[in-house]
Amino acid sequence: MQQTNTQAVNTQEVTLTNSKLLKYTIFSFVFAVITLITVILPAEYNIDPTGMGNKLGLTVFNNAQATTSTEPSTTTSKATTETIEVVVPAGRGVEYKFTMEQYQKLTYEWITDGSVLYFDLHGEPKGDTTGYFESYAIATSDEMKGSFTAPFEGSHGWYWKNTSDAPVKVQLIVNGEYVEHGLK
Amino acid sequence: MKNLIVMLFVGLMLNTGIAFAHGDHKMISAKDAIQVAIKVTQKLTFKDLGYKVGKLDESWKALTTEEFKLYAAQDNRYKVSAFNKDNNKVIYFLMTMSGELLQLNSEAKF
Repeated sequence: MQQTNTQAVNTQEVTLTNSKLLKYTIFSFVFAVITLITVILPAEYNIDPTGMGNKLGLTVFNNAQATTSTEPSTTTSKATTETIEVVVPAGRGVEYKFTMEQYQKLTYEWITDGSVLYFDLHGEPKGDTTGYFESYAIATSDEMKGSFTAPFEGSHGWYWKNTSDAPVKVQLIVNGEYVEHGLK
Repeated sequence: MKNLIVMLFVGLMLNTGIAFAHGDHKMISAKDAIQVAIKVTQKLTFKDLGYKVGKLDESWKALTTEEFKLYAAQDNRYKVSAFNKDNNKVIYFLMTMSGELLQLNSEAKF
């Protein structure tokens, strides 16, 4: 049995000639080029010379970005950097929220003037009366940097809780799309 | 033959790595470098972050984007300047091409 297997392997090695290897290499190269043109370029760079990317739905993300950037005036969204300062009183919590539509994106950075704060970055769906909310990040820190895309229309932002004996000031720098913002 | 197959495999793996991991993912543009400088300036008006310039006074809050300029882009570093016309002072930011702030001073000597 083992001898038979060895013979089979030897036979395979003999049949794999240089011309076949060259043929397979060329085939792989052609396949890679086709994949590059029909899948990778449309999906990654919005370059779709064949139109296949559009038919396969691979250009959807690039088109969504283009739509957003070319139609800023149709919504009340903003695309400038804003700096907001919020004071969290000693022993209390404060909620600062951004009203956002579904799939709007917000990039943020915040720092405190000293103490750490417990925070919950979360979103609440518009019109929801059940008290449901979805947390995106929960931690205790004196700074944070990141971004999020609103998974649903509603209010999205931070609940900061100050457990210290002195008020803590938060500086929040945001850039992105939102309708309005303020303390809640 | 084996070497040829190994070379092909390694070559394909390297190319796939770039396709999946976005080779230039961490590079930022000069415009983004200016945005980094704007954010850092805002933060410095709020708190001393340990740079040579210390905490900046309130007048720096009012700086507009036009007052931030790309001073130089060389040796894989961006140098951005910020001019405060209220007190006639300039501060300079040295950052990596990925936007990490390395130094900040008012002499442009890095």
